[in-house]
Amino acid sequence: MSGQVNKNLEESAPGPGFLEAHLTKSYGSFRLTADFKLVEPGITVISGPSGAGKTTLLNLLAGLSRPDWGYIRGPEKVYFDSNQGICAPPEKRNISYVFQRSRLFSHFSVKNNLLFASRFGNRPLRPGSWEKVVSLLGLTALLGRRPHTLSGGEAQRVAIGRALLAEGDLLLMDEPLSSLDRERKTELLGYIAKIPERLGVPILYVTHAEEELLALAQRVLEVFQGQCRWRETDARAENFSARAKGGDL
Amino acid sequence: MTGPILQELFSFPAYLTLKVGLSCLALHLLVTLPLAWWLSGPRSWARRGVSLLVTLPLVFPPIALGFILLTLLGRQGLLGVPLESIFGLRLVFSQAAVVLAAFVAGLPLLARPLEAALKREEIKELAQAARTLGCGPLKAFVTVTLPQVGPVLGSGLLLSLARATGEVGVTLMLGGNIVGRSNTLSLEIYNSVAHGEFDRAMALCLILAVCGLLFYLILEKLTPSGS
Repeated sequence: MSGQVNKNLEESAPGPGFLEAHLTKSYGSFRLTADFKLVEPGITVISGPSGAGKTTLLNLLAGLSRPDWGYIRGPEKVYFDSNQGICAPPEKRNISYVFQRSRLFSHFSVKNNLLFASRFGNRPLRPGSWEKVVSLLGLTALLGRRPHTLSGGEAQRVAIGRALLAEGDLLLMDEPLSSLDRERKTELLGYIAKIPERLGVPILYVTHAEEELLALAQRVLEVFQGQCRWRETDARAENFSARAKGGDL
Repeated sequence: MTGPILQELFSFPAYLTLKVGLSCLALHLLVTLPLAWWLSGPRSWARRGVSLLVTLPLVFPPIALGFILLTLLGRQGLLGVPLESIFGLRLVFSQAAVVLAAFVAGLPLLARPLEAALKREEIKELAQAARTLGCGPLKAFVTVTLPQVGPVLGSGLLLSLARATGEVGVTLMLGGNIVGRSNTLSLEIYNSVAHGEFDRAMALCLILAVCGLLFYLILEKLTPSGS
């Protein structure tokens, strides 16, 4: 296994956002199996019903949980390889993460939350990224506020900004809009859709909401009962467009 | 009454009590804080065992606990023999023994609430978020977890300090209540009553009452309102 990983690394020079995962993880009777490669930029949606293993998969990729077996490869190094005994901790993976709940640090202002990775995480800001992120997400007016004074939508925007300013090669988003009302969802979907193009960061976006999938997905990785497989997005989108036109949705 | 109070305020027992309290604060930050962090990890037999030992001063009579510590740390004790032969430390009936007694008595008042706070899912989630933002485990603990549990840490330290200043049972056994060496304010109240010096005992009580009131007021400040 490890020999194969090294061979692949030598053969190709993967760009930012590249991720290859071939792994299994078991919790009691539940078993997640993933075997996929992300090579293209843009937004990849991980879709599937609740309990299918979507969050588990993101946690494994981010290093918050450890696979039982397999490997995970990033653009520059191997994050996990059970054969070689490699398991890079989350802080060494250069993968940013937006969680279901904003998880903002209440003892810091919005500005200090946004600057957390550069101040404490040894992830210096790239030139111009502060201005880009703050303007893209409309955060200027919020910078001096404390997290407990923010609405749900504002808090998630700050969480997205904080993750983007960690300057990761890949952004993981775990149902970031699930706790928001429809209006806030629509507003934030607009912000998220612009991220790959404006900031050059590929996104792996978990959702089971079809409206989010339709609005964002350039490709879809389906997770069902612990198994991952690619889905034809266009066909799916056409199907949904047709249903939407027919008034089914 | 003002004269005796002032006199007692600058006496050896008051000095020793202050010294013991401050030493306990330092010990709690150095020992109890990392201990509570370790205890908040996944359940194991080792953690259960240590948790039982930490809780013991709350559920076991102090005088009995003091006696057990005395037999363990005494010159012929299981721990006393190696302590003296290897490090040349003779702990019992010393000021170090008074500090140890106060530390043990206050340990559960800080360790248990802190452990419970560190076990909260939202605290762990915030630490995870810090890890994905580039912090190692220690930095995530210092920059995120510690400020989040700050009020619990503060109130726990204060309660353990209050317990340290009022400790009698374990201190009596381990420290020996030797005048000029191990007689704290609380033990001095006992000594005064034993000698029929009731005015002196009252003056000492008033000093401890003011300390208690101060602890209470600071605790009130540390407790979040409306939660």
